[in-house]
Amino acid sequence: MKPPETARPAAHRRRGQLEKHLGPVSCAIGLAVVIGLYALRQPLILSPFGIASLANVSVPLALAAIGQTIVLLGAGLDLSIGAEITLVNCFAATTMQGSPLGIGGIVVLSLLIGLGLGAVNGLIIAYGRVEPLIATFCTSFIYGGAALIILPRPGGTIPAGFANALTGNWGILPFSLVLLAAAVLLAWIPVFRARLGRFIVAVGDDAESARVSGLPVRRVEMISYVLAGLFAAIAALFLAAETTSGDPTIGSIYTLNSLAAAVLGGVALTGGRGTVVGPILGSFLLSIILNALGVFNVSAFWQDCIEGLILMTVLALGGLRLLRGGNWLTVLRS
Amino acid sequence: MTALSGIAIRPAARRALLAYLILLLVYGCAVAVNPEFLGWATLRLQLVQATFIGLIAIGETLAILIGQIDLSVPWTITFSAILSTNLASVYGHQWVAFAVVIAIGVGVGLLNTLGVFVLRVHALIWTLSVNLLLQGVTLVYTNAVAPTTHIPGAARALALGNVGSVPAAFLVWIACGGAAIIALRRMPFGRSVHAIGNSPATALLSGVPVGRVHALVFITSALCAAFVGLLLSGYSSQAYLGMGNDYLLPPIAAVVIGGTRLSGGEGGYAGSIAGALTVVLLQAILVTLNISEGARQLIFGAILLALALLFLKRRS
Amino acid sequence: MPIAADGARRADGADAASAPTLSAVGLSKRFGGVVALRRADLALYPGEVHALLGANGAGKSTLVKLLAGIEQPDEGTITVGGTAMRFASPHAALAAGIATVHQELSLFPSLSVAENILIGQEKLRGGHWIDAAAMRERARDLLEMLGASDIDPDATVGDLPLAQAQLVEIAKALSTDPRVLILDEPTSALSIAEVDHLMTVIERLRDRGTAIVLISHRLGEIERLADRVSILRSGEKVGEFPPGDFSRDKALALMLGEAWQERQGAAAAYAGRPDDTILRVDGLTLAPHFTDIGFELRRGEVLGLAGLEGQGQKEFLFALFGLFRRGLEGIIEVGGKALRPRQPRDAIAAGIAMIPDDRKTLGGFLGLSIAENIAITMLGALRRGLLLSRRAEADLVDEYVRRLGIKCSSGAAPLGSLSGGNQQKVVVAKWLARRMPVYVFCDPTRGVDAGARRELFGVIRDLAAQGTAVLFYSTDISEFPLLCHRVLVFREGRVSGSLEGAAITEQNILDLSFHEAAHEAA
Repeated sequence: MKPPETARPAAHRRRGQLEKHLGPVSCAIGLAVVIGLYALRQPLILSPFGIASLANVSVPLALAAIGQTIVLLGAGLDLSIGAEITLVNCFAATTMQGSPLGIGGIVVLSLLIGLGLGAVNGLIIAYGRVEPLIATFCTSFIYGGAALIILPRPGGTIPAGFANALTGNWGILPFSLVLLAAAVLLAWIPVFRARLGRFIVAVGDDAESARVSGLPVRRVEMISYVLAGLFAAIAALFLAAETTSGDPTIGSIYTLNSLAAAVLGGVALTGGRGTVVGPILGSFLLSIILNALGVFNVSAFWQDCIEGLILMTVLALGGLRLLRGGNWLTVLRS
Repeated sequence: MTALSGIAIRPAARRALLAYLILLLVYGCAVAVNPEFLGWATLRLQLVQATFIGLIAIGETLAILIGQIDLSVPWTITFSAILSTNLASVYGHQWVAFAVVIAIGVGVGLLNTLGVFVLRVHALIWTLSVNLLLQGVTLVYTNAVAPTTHIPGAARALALGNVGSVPAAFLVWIACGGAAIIALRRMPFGRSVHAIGNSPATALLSGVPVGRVHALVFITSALCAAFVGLLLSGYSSQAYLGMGNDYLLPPIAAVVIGGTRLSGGEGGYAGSIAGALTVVLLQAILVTLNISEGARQLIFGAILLALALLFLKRRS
Repeated sequence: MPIAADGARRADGADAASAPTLSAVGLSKRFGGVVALRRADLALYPGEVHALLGANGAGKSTLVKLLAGIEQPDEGTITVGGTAMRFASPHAALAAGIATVHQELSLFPSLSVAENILIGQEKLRGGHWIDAAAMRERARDLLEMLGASDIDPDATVGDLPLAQAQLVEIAKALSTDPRVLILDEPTSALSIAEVDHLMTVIERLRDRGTAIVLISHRLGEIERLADRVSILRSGEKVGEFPPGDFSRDKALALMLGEAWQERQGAAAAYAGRPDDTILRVDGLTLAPHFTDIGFELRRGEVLGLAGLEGQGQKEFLFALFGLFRRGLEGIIEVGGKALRPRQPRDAIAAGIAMIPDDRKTLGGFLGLSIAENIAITMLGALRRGLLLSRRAEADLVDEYVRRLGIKCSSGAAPLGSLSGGNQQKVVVAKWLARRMPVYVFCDPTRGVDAGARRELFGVIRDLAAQGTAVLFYSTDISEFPLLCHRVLVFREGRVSGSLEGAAITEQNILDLSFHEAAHEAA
């Protein structure tokens, strides 16, 4: 941490506080507006079935975005999240039906594969010292290729019982939201309410300070990618349940969208700043906007266009913040 | 003082030479797998394939040399192929297609410059987003209905024609590649490119027009991709959605195999030529061996990762 | 004040109470070819404040880094509590009870005050869950001890003013309850009242038996607090004052070295016309780096910017060269024309050339050839039609390689293959070719051997003799008397004094650089 940057005048303090909550709050407002407009055109969306369908399209992205957020908090980046999702999805779809291990066994194995894929990323980045972007760009092709080997074209089967258990609803409460809540409660909270999460944020905030303060920087970096892999695997299992089959291209869209959802939700690309609520709200906002296009007579072909535009706008806003800094050298080194 | 006048970049030349040795080795493997690779008929086919990758590699070499990368290539190809051939049919004139190629090249290049240089978003993310946007734009434009196209005769001639027994496309590649090599070695632009890749801060402090060079590089890259889009439509006599999807990784692999450092500043196009030929031969070998699409992807990803681990500047 | 402990006494001595808490023997550290520390000894006794004093580059920071486990010594041993230790990481040093307050604060701007203070020492509930309430309590206690109870443990550190952040850094070091506390310029951002309170805290810690290392450039603080003072110069420990024996004059003399009065080769007097101004700066301010800088630089004049490291000199030169895109206030005029540099190209167009301090990332292209490095500023002039003329480039390169005596096998050799001094000559050569009216040298001799330094000075003198104006900043104060016609001394972002001609001595520069000395001079 460099001293001059600390010397922020008191007048800026309130803005700092505001910026912290800007992402989640604006996502929440945006979400309310979008759902409101949606409901005006299509009141059925507020029925239990409608809510479940909205939740079901949003939850996989939310899970991917949480994984991405963990890595971003540590000032890393994971371009292989989509490929991890694809690979685990294809694995589950090809093995779950009639497996001697039973559904539970395959679920556990899928989660372990997710952890393993994340561990490979983590090893290359934390111990191989390769830039996260390059490393995960390369592994995304390795994982994606492996998925294509397992399942060259969409297919495979997911037992109906497993599918229903994840995608059904209980009154107005969709099971998918329960899954999301469980993932947050069982994986996010125990990490980020404990020392490990604090270390991840600290390393992302200022890696040099973390080293000088005696934190195990490499191990922390490594673990953040492992956790991202875990969330990718959960997303993959949910997608398998939702489509009741596997698809070797299903994950590709989640790489950039998870990034967009996280940044929309106020997670800093430079590390150290972000919440879990923001990216979840961001994911719901993004997914529901894209889902609502049809209701507003916008051709579904606009989907990629709008995704691209949202993504670029969000990235551009992040870039503008950097420009305010004003020193050419820090700009060039970023 | 003749001792001082040798200005060629020696280490880069050595790396390019290595790329040609790799090419020979891979060619040997190809012949071993299938003796038909000794025949001109098969080689001609590979040369045309290598032309497409090699032309894209011109832009990608420049982008990687300044320490960036351009991942907006696949949908620049598709968008350009569809838009140029469609507008050519609408206006009934084949040269419209070439005007569209230029417009797309300049437009996409400037968009990439905006994000990467002005807003300082990492090139990998930004150009990937631009790729997504172009995919969306293409889908919206076509409405997923195959548009009426007019494949310009010139594009067809360039892609399918022959001069003697040499493919015309290959001659185009030789011409463009030669221009790229001269620009990089002998023109002020090339010096600036190497300078920026070697140390962007030093380049800035030395008065190199950093922004202008970024724009030129990204425009060249998009122009190459857009032109390849038109050539591909001439080659297959159609323009279709997803036709550029196979052109993301191979050109990058070609550049890196050709000895250009992924972190920028060192390398050149001479090596990328060998890299493009190597990549095409590798693909051909994998196809001959009946290696699946997935395994091919995996192998290319692994090669790239290995090169990154071997040659990339490490984080401190 | 504790009873004087004999420096020769060992840990196995009779009096256990005065055995050193930490003793370092023969510590050496080399960075590349440069010796940063040579066989330094240091003994820290419980209940004693040991001050380290020295000019820039004397080796204080290196010594601190070795004790804190940030760098590992090439030679020498560190013994803590009688056990020989090898600190492979900062973690190991912390575990051995050595806590450090770093000059470059080791804080996390996005985390709260309590989270920062207790990073790695989190209070846990059930062995796993972070106990925010307990952490807040502990942080509050530590801050209270520092008399900083006005700092909210829940505030985000990035929002705090620098002085409060510095107190948080100190609380963070205290949180481990260290046996040895190293304070590296802990007071540089504090107000007089805060400094006063901090000194009381240091005294209290000392009385509790903590061994304290204090680095400060405020002699008054050292006189008040230090029991023992070690002087470092050029990586060597040149003297130690036992308790009660400190003398300001002797300390300054030791810092400068014995031969400082006899140094030769002083700069020639300014020979140009007094009104021949080429660069005028007035009221130039860039918060928080420097405030209200103003001077006129004349053709043929070498103007030095002196002072301790980090007093805003470098930022000022960078701002002049257009490296800060916004926030710059005041007037810059080059050759009578106003300049508002937003990028280096603006400054270059106005006639300013800059030789930066960091050859590796700012000055040279290590991976490019010597020829390409020199030609980079001359691409326009070397162009014939579309292509660069190889003949013209080779002539240009040959000329400057010869003129500056750059030792290389050929112009095609990569810059990275040369020695530091020759690299720097190439960086200078690339701007000499442009014949600019104003040259800015920003610490050009860092990591350069004596021979190359002499040659570099020759180049600067030649430039001045030809009527070029030179701005010269260096972290080595011995260079100013050799080179400059006039010197401005920077302190805390302002010009604290100006020296001219025979008044440019290391003694005077040091006086103006150190707080109290300046007050006495006034």
